[in-house]
Amino acid sequence: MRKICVVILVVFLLFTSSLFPAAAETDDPDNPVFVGGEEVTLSAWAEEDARLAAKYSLMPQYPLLEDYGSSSNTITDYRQPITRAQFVRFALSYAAVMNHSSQSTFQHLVEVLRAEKSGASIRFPFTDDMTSDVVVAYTLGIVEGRGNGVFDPNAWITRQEAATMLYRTYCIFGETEDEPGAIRFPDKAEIAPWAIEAVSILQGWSVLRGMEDGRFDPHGYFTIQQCMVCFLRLYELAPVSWQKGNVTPLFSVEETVKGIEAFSNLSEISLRLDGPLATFLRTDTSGVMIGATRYYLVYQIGGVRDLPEALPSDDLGYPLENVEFSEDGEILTYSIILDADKHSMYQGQKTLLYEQGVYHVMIDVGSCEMTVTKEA
Amino acid sequence: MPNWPYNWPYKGNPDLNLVELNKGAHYYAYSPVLSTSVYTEAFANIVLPTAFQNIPIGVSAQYASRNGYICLGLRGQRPSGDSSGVDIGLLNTGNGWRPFYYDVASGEDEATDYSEDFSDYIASSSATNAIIVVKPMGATSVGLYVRFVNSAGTTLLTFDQTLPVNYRASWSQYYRFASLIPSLSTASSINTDSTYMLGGQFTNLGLYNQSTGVYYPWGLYSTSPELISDYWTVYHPRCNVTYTNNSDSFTIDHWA
Repeated sequence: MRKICVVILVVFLLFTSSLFPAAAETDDPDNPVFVGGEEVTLSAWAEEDARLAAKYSLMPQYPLLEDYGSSSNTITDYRQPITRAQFVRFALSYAAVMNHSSQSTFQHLVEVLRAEKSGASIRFPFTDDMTSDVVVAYTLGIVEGRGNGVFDPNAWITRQEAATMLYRTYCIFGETEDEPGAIRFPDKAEIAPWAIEAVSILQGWSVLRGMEDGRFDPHGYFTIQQCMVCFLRLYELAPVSWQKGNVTPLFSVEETVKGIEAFSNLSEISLRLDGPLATFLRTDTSGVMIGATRYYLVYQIGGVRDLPEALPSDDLGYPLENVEFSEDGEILTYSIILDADKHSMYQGQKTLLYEQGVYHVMIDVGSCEMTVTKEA
Repeated sequence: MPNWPYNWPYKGNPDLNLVELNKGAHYYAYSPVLSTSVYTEAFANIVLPTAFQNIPIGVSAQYASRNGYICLGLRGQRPSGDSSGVDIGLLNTGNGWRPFYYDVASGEDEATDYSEDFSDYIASSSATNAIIVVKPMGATSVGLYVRFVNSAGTTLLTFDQTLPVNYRASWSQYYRFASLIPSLSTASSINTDSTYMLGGQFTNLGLYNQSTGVYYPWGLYSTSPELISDYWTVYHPRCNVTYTNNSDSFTIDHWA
């Protein structure tokens, strides 16, 4: 029965082209959009926005799943209704971008720094969702449960519910001073009282623009592509945005460093260098079968970025020499000295990774672009 | 496998990494790629080692103490296409066995490392066994159940948590290992530092088949179905394994 309902609803949504101008529902085969390595299907009107959203890193990091309780079936047709669990993936991408941070590191920071503050358990508060993404979204106040420990992850979201969730996501970073204005949608009488503020403000910013016939359709279902476009508009049009440079970061430099330190009681910060614009951190996890080294730039203006290893290693990273920032703090440099050739082995086949020698690494602090050169 | 040291016991096509040669004597056993929606959990009754020495003896102070591991694990596909594992089981740094897990992020994926040493759940010295269950719970979480019991079978401590991990498009293999690893990878290590972990066993090893409702034996050479495709020891005979249809007995002994 539910499958029939899905088909009917999808067909309905395809032909109503809700929220957006009518346009051909065809894909551009020459310029596909990928999410987490999987090509997604969009209505034609949403494709350009999808590319822009991807450029801003507003797309989910990984493919959306049909049901996050079973990890195998991905959703690539973005014209379908969005579930509560899928909405969370978009909201967290937006939140990470607004915090000028790599998504996974941002989420982990929220887990270790905000859980206690918010009263949410770092483990799973809902009996029907065991994903850390939903815990993080709950901790940030983006989503709420249905009561009695139920999150209802696979339920579709109505458009008025989406409005409140979009607005809550925005409010993590900036309480608006805008007073809710008059709602201009002709079906405003159908909007629930709890959604009026969000709908009013989001309409005022042109994040919500209504259906083709001008209605808001508060009880209609929100689609994945509508969600994507609304987060893009929220990012571009709302008064507070990282793009506009007026976001108050969630975490200070010291809080971020403390959070990274708390990622695991098996790892430790082995290097810290404070520069004018950012702090460079290296963490090492040792005493395990496969050790790990991670590098971060924690920015004075807020946010944290993961840095790749200049010479990727199968275990702990190589020691760094002469680590320093340029005087203006815009460039970070260090060297790696390999006193012997380095090899890897896979299924018995030994291959040369790096020749012995001195490698110089230069990182643009703003863009995180890295160049590695081997000394002649 | 041209570079595999043939004098070390192995089965299948082991994925020996050079890194492992710095991790002391140990062994691994992997299931074949299988459906974790059919085989939904791995079970073992672990007999805890009767002798454990993790501080090097008779060598210079530069050699680090060691961490003992008796673990199960889950391997799954990351978005980059790489397969990577989550070690889930027991850790002992010298003050007792406790639950532990470690999901190291793949270098090609933007990800963070998830790991925790649950030091609030250290078993007392009277614990003789740990009943352990490991199961995939979804794309970003795994389940770990550990119950420590004493020789009378009395439960001493129970740990039952769902643990966040990095995203896996799918889970595809179970594995297990026992090892005694230098606690500081940067420190010098030799395999003759008189550390040891003796008398440990994985017993009642089983993979639960949800379709049939049966735990199938998960011994190194169990058949019908064959649930171990790859097994290897490193630094044999300092790691030595004997086996039955559903159990492994292992010793790790870095004698001088």
